[in-house]
Amino acid sequence: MEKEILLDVKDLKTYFYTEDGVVRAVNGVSFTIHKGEVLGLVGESGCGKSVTSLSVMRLVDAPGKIVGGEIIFKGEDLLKKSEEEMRKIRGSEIAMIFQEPMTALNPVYTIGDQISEAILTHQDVNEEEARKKTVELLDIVGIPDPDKRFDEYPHEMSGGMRQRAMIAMAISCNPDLLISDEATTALDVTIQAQILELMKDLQKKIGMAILFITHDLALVAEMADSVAVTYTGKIVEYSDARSVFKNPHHPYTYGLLSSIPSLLSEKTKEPLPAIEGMVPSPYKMPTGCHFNPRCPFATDICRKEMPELKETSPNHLVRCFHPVNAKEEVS
Amino acid sequence: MANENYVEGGTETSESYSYWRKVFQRLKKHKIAMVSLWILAVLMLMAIFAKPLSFGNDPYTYIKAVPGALRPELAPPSPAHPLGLDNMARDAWSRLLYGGRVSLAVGFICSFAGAAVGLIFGLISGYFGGITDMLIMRFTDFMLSLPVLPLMIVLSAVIKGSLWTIIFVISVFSWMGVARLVRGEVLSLKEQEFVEAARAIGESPGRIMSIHLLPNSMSPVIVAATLAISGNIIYEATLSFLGLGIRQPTPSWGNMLNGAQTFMLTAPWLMWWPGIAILITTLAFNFLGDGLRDALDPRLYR
Repeated sequence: MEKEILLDVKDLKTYFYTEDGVVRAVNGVSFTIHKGEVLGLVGESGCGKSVTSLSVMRLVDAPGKIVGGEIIFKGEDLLKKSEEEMRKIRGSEIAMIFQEPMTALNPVYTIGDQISEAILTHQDVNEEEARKKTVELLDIVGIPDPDKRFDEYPHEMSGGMRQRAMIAMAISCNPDLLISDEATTALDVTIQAQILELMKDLQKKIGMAILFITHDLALVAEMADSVAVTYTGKIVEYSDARSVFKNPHHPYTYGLLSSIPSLLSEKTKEPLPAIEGMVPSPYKMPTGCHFNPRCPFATDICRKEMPELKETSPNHLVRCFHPVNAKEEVS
Repeated sequence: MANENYVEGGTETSESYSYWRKVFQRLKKHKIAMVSLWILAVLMLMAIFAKPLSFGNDPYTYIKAVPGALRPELAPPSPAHPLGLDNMARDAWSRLLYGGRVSLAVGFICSFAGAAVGLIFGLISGYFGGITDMLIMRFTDFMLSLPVLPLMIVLSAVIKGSLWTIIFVISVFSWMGVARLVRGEVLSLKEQEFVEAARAIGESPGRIMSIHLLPNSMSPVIVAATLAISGNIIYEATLSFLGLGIRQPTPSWGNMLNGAQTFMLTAPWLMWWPGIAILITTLAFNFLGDGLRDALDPRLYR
């Protein structure tokens, strides 16, 4: 299925210049999102997922800086755009939903005002039309009684409702790309399911692509067409969702997948297999493959050299010297 | 301490209630602040309606003769002149009323100007950070480290005292606290996701500062500005008392005190009333500021 490429990130490098040294939060990440496709970006905390998404929006703040790479969006490099041009793209062509629905809305304005603000910023409409559009949007995202809800303040709404309002704000200008940065993490599972359903629905309706960032593998399996697994600012495995889940090649992905508890497994009484150790400190990266201190398959070469991202099977890229060839089903 | 007094107001009504109504409901529970608010309202009305309340007296007219007194100068209180006459035979009551205009105007305008300047500096400093922040904050520190009163005295001696020069002189030295306060507030606010969300929908820095950061950092500024009013009234009184503020014959509480001190023993009533007026006003503003601080405390909301 050859589709038009919407976003092509090439060798993106975002470093943070802190007083204690340089943190390579995103260190040569490349991925491609086609039109209307969902890419899942998975990894533990501190693997550079959020920084990647902020880099795409060009919202990285000092001391962080995008030091290299290209972000080609609709054929144009976003890194070469002026701040003014970026402001026009943000919200209208690339939109973003945040993790905390509690703090992502300004407490002093009504929900409606904040959504209309997005519309008024990018579209040539008057306030009345913006209000009408906003009420429509609230309806689309499944907020009951939208005309009344328009005039409510964030603190009068539940977390799920607020996240719906955030989504309404994000899709208000029909963006081509929606970045969802752990958008459902703060919600409980039932609400989470509803929000995901809503996102999938909208994605089909308006044909937008989603960069879906999460640490929850189950969500990725649910949502994504393709998956990129990140570790310490690098992509370690990149393929379509099905092959990553059925046949993970990188020991890290393998570890992540086997640490999901299963109700059906006979081994329920046994302790859950976990990946030993922790994500290394950004100031003290191990030499060689960054995963080697935690990897059960690590050998000498892993401790000396950083492996390249290689195609191990068609369309399946893995950064490992000893890819696991788990033919059996893991999940 | 008195937190049990603060109950959530208006939650039982189904309609939307505004933030400020909630704040006012909290403030109403604060008794001293409410008393202060009433006192200030009365004082302000007295200043506004100074003319009708003077009972036909004028603060600038020299009274020719007072029944029952040898000379009109320093005449003691009488029915026609409830607070007596000052050393120039002017009616002290009407001078007190008109002087209130000056003191309150100075208090309010200086506070407002100081808060406005402080807000602008604080917003810019906090939002942009880096070198801008460094420069503005070092300038603020510099201003804070100056000995304010001697400088005010020098400044008002150089630019001769009218109401507006006094306001200018006091305002110059009253924005630093607010600037620091707002900067701190902005530093924490800009890490909140709604600011990031605003950037993510493509809003400009100016708009983010004015519509997102400014309203959210207003509460401490209101408190600080209210508390500053009393300080500014005292500065005006001090300068006028030292003869560097409001010049005669325009009355202000400060220069009334200045005029009265010579006759402290012969006509003590001349000193009491402006002194008491300053005391009551500054106390009331301080209590009101305290009440507002409790009522606006964001921790009681989130």
